[in-house]
Amino acid sequence: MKFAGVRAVSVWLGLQLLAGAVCAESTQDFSETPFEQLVQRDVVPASKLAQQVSDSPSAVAIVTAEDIRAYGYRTIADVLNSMRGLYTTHDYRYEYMGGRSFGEPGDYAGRIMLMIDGYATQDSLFNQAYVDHSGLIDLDLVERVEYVPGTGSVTYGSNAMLGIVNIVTRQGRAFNGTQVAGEVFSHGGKKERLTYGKRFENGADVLFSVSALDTNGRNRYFPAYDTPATNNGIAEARDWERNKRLFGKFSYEGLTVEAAYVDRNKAVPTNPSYYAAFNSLFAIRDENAFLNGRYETDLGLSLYSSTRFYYGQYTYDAFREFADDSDGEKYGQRRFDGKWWGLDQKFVGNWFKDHALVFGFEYRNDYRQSFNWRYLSAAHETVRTVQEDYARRTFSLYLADEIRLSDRWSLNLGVRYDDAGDLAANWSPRLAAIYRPTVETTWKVSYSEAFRMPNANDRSTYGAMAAPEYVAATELVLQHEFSPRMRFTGSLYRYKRSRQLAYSPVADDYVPEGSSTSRGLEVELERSWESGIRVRGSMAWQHASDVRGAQLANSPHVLGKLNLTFPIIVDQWRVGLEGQYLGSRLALLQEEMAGTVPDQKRLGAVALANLTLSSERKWYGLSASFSIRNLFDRRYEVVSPFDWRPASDIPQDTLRMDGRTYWFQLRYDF
Amino acid sequence: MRIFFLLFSIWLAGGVLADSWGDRPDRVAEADMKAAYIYNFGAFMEWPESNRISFNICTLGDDKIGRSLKRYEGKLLSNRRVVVARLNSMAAISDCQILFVGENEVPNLGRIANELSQQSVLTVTDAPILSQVGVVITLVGQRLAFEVNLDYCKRANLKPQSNLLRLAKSVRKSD
Repeated sequence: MKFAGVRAVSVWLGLQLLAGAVCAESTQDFSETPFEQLVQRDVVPASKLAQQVSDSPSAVAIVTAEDIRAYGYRTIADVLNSMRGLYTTHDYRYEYMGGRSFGEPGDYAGRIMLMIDGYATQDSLFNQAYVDHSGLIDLDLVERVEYVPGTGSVTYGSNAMLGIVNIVTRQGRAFNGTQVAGEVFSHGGKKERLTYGKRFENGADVLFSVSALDTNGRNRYFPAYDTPATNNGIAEARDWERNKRLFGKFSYEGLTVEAAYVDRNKAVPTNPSYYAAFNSLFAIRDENAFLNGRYETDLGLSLYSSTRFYYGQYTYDAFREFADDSDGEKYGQRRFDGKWWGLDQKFVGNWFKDHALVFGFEYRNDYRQSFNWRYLSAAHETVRTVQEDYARRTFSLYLADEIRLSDRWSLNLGVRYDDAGDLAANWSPRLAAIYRPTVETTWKVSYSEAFRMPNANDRSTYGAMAAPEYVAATELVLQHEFSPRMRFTGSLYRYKRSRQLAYSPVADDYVPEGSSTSRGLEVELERSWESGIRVRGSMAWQHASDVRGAQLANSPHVLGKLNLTFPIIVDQWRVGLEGQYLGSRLALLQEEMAGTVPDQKRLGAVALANLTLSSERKWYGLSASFSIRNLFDRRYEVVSPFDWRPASDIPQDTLRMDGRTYWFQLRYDF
Repeated sequence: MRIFFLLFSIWLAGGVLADSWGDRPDRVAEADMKAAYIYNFGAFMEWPESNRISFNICTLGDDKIGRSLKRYEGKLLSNRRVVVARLNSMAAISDCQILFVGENEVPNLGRIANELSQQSVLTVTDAPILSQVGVVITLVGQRLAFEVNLDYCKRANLKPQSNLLRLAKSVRKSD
């Protein structure tokens, strides 16, 4: 059964090969054609739509700086929500990504890789991809976001298991001066940003940006706490959020040095555990920073080299109050700390006519993975501390070859070897075939395997049971360009995950023996017009199961997206209209408690709309954007990460989201 | 079985798609035609004597045309074997005979011209900036056209053959 998909794909490949052989191979080699004849021939103009940068054989989704402006995106989560087959879930702490085979609450976003200019941003403790205001980058500094669905372990190793988000930052020359921006938004929010960008005569490019965000949030109501003892379910003034960001980039010749820093403080209105007190201060702090230096050069005509050094760090602080302090512990304080550095040397060799060889090695040292729990008395004296420390060194080798078989066929073969000191070594292979029967049509079929090492949090939580988990993915992609301004993308996939942690009643513990399957189909149509109108619509159907074989929680069967933008008032302004459909999905199975049976709620489907108006031109350096999110004020809920009931016995398996909210940004360039 | 059925129907649909939109064998992608033009510029130019064994066609800042050019590798130009190099930096540009500068590197054209100085490297681009390069390729309707900068060629000690100049949309010459 495991290889049924692969077998089907090989049969399909065989059929296509046959079809390819039957059709006469038209040659694109014009070395024998007289130039006089060539200049008379019509060409199929190159696509005017955004093209993927990464050479992945999957169906990449792209959002550009123009889209970010047109649709008023403020966080990476907003961008992801507009992409085919993706959605995010907010629990008032973080925004979590959901997509093919992932999105289960409590999972963090750790099976997705989030990269900024080639640097993997996830922390070394939870491997969380920060896509909200705790993320590293202001969207005004983003040139494009690419989402590569599926596995990427062949290139990036552990964690690039179910998808890769690639963020490419803008060049200083895109600003060419100083920009100040001020924002106000619903619930007492404001943000300021100062950016300077410049390209100098000698080719050096500089970008520097600093920003601060501050919002009060609002009083939030939680039905499960609707008792007089717990403030009738209202968490009062416990929803504020603040962040500070710094970003700098310098590039000259082949050298690029980039650094980013974010410090996000958030009050969390939800109650994090059974023992914590509702409507008491539960504040978390996420501090992320990195330094990434890269030197790229050509060593002769056939060998390209990219040398990269990176350093990253992450700190998590949390403070909470317990409802019951009879054991003398009134407050809990957590401080988790991660530090790492790494070196990556990549070569691309073009020595052979029909081969492009990529090879190299990476060394990564997660030298600090520290967890500290401190329990304080009512008088704020330390009663008890728990300290755990972990570390990991990983050495990796990789090799890939892009083979051109003919004008129509090419193969992409690759393998990566990862050896972490504390785990058995692992090989991640990928095989892909790309077939271009015509100039406009591309077929891609791939089989790949990826893995994820247990992170420090897994090692702390599951001890000896923490083990690597795996996925084997088969995907078929069709891209067809009806015209340079209209493109269809379709994707059919099947993921088989294995060695997942699953609860075993026999062992009375979590054991790495679970497996699950996901399959789905995604289609997307994209079109633009010379007049500046752009439209993109997509549908995704998916069926994902969990380790019990049941439908995966928080994984809708259907997702739909529609984005439309067009200029108005003689091209002075632009309207961006966005529709998102999130199909019905299951909440977490609620734990059995005295007097209750386990149950699982199904949340109804919801359709949301967002509207943005942005200026296309600057008047005396001024430009502006205005957005309304949840335009029709839909009341809707999302799946919560909680599977336990508070004293009221009412489950808290869903969380109510915001109704209509507003956002206004004013920019001044000088 | 179900997945096989699905794959099969998609294959069928793909065949239909290919038939209805793709069955025009004379259709050539823009990048493939640009590659053919670049190869022809090499053939219709008189190159100064050189003791190099290879004829190097390079691209900088455009991978697509670099890929298309690969099929000309091993052909002979000026009695030398063609080698195609997809460059990522300016480090090796003076080893090229033809250098195609893609959109991403157009802001660096001034520095590229300085770096090459009077070396016999024919620079080609598809951005409308003829003053800094030897040849510009443009899309005019459904066809490609090109313009030649004779001043540049003269400085670089390159002599375009009259056939090439005859096919050019325009020729830039200061005197």
